[in-house]
Amino acid sequence: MKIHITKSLFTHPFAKFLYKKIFFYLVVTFIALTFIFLIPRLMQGNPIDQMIPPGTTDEGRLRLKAELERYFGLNKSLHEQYINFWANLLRGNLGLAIMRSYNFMPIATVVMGKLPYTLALVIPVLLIGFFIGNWIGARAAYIKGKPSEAVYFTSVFASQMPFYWFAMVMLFLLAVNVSNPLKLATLGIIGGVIVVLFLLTVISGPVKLVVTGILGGMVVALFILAVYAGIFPTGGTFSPRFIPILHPPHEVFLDLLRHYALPFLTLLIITTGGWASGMRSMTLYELDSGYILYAKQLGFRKKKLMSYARRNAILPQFTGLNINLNNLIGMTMIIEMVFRWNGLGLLALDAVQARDYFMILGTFLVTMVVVIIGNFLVDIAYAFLDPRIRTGREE
Amino acid sequence: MIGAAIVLAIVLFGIIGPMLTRDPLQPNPYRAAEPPSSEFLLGTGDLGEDMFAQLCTGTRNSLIIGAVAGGFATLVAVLVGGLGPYKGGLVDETSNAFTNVVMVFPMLPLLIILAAILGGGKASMFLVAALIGLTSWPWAARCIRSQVLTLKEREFINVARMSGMKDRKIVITEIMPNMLAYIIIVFVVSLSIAVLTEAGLSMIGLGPDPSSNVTLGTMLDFIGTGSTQIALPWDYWWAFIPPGLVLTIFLVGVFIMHSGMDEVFNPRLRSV
Repeated sequence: MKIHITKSLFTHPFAKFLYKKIFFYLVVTFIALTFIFLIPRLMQGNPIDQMIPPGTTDEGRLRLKAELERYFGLNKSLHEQYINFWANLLRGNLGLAIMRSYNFMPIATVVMGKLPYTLALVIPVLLIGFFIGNWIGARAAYIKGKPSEAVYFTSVFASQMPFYWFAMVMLFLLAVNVSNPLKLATLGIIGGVIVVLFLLTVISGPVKLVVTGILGGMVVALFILAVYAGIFPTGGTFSPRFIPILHPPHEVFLDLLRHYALPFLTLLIITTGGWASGMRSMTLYELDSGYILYAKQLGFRKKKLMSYARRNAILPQFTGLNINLNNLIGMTMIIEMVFRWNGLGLLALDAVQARDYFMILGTFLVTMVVVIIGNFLVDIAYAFLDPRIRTGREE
Repeated sequence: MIGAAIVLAIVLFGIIGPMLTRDPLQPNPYRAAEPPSSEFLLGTGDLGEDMFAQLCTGTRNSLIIGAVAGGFATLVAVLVGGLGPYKGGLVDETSNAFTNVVMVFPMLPLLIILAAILGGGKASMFLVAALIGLTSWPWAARCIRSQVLTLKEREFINVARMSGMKDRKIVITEIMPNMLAYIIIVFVVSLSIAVLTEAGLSMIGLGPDPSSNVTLGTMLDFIGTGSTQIALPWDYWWAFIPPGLVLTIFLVGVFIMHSGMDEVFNPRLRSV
């Protein structure tokens, strides 16, 4: 007789895995939000004190302080404040902006308005960087020899550069005084090395060198021409005096794209370098392991061997995706400050300079939620990739 | 070996350099924004400061901040990541869960908030170092935890336990000597991360007070004093390229050293 094992919503291994993860991230959210609640209340010196403009008389200071404390509910006891904090949060009420540029707009509205700009950087950089980086890394492990080592050291260099410094170098080379011939020459050399290495790695076949030469030369020449023509602005989200609603959509898009290019490239090069160097080591390790050597003895084709090695090498890279996402959000915020891209990072900077603490916390809160959702999605994707987790079976 | 040599060279540069150079914060309005010359090896800043002197002192101060923050992070990591798996049971569960929870936090935004609220660009070097240490230990804790876990299952530990050795004695005479090299490497990597983070904070004007401290980050200051924002449009490359290069070389050195050490601790990687 056949035994039917029913897997209900509660006992199915994947469901169990999901519940565990959801519970974990709920705990994380709870701790993080409690932390957000405690930060301004634990510091010596009230944020309220900082809000009072300098030069206020003593009497005015006291009255203003009492008024502001009443307004923010700081005159109640700590646990009442905590309950209020959660009640407001669940209603989506983060308070009102004090900074001048967002005159008393709800903080939630301001922050949500900035979120798409940050996500427009984070998501493409994370995905494209992951795919290109791992592709380059796997190919670099495969081709071996001098080019492989050159790719490795270039990617190590790219991933270890301080990203904010690299952003400045990008501005220096690509956006400021671009008609300087020395700069264009430097750019040509650096760009040439990167493009040629990239092409040498990913192209295979007998005409590799010819294709690399022609394609690489064209790409670098076009890029330098574009830089010479001043295509990259020094920062901002739109050109000065460019009012988006007065222009047709394609012009708005092009202008946005020009401003988007530099922060995007900066982040992409740094993350790609990290993935590529990691993937090269992992693939080399896999290519050296028993099952590949055995398959080689059996006479498998190289393409097949490569695909086996790649599939096994990519798993540890996937686990790195979580940490990479957390780092990337922080990096994006600082890159936004350098390029004045209109996202959460720039908002946080403006809020820091305007001493609007509730806005700072609002920014952090949204970042936190994005990171948690992102981590959750990565976990689920990992479960789909690795059947051991999905089916709850240990090795 | 190459990695260690690079790191050592930069540390020596940070120790010896400041003894031989001028006062890095001394302005000289008559010699402002000069390109590199034999008198000023890396030119002068927009107020006429000697950039080479700034680079030397900045390297030293960045390394000091890194060492304090890295040491703090390593200490917390050894306590949280080392004690847990050794004791096992509830201690392990709690410390591991705590590390996992903190790992999810986006640390850089958190650090920006803390630095903005507590320091506001006027902080001392040690406050900045403490904040960085406070936010950078989870990675180190996880490394140390996994190392202790593998070490715990090794035979000589079992033998020691079976022969009736006390827990404390096992930790001191058996585990610590084997962990020491690993802890040092975790410390060096934490140090390099802290140096990188400090420079990032200083660059957005939230690091140590730039009017009295020089670090590699304050040399790159983009938003606080905005020295880089002056340097960029005028092509004063000597003002911001060298500190970034020193940082990059240091970080690459630590990376090479780290991956070299990984091969020692993880012999499966050695054949690569």
